[in-house]
Amino acid sequence: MFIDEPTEDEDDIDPFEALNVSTTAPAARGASLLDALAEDDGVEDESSEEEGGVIATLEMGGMMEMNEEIVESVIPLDEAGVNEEEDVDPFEELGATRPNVNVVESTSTNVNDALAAFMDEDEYQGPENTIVFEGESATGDESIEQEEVEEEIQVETEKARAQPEELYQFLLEGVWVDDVLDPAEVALMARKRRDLGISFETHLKILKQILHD
Amino acid sequence: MSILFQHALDLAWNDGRLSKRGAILLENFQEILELSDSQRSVVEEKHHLQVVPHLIPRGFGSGASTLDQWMTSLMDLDDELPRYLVSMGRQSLETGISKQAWIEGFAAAERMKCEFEFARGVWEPEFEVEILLWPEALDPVAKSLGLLLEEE
Repeated sequence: MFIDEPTEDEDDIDPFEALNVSTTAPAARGASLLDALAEDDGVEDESSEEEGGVIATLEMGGMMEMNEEIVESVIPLDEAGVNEEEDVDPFEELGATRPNVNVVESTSTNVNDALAAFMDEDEYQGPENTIVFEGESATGDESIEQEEVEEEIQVETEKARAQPEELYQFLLEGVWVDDVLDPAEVALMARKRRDLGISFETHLKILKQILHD
Repeated sequence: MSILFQHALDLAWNDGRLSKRGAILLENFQEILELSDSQRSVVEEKHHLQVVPHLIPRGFGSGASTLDQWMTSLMDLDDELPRYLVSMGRQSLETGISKQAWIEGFAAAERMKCEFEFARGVWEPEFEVEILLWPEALDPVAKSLGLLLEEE
């Protein structure tokens, strides 16, 4: 079967025809061009060439009709849901206002609205049904949280207060390294007490700890 | 170990024997110093093991009188005691006080309820201290602080 010949079997789809690509051999197209240049050669040839052109035109017309049928047999993009205009709009789906990209000033507001829609949805409202035992109030969680926060603050305060004492203890241990205390070391420790805000009583307490350990 | 009770034992046994009066004075002194029985036993056991075996009996416990005099003079210091201890603390610092000397000196001052004053003399250089010659009753403390040689 030649490619250029029309086929009666419409179901047999030629990919070249479907793509509307010329299937004429390059050599044949070159020959026709040469014939067009050689018009002066003879009238008899012209009639035969005209007949050939008519045949070719008829053939091409047949192909065009068939191409239309083939194209129609392909699923249209519109029906396949590929059309961009019919895409699902998330703003419409969520019921939020679509931001107007043309108005720069209102953009941020609209975005905020859209985000606010999400925020509203995500906002935790707490358990709908809370079991309250006897002797327990509904605001028990809040008081527990408050107690935890207070405990954390207290721990942090004690830690901050303990740090200078730890530093002072470290220095005091260093003073006894040579087993003898001299006035220069005592003056240094007195200055450190002032700097670190350590009382003399605390100094004695730390000193006792060191010596009894 | 309480250097004060140690000194009291030395005085009570100074002629190689301990009299009944000496034993009673030791009991009284234990109460004055507020020493527990276990604390006293630690001091007394060490004395019996290290000192008593080397003593030569020369009398019948005349040391009780010496102990009584010493205790009386120590008690008589009363209001003056803090001043002396501050001064002794400062003097010991200037000569260089060892860790052991500090522990013993502070413990003795604690027994006499003057530990804070003694500590100030050692650890507070800004605190003005009058340098005093300590009374004989405080010699045991002076010895432990290295202010007095053992022979003296």
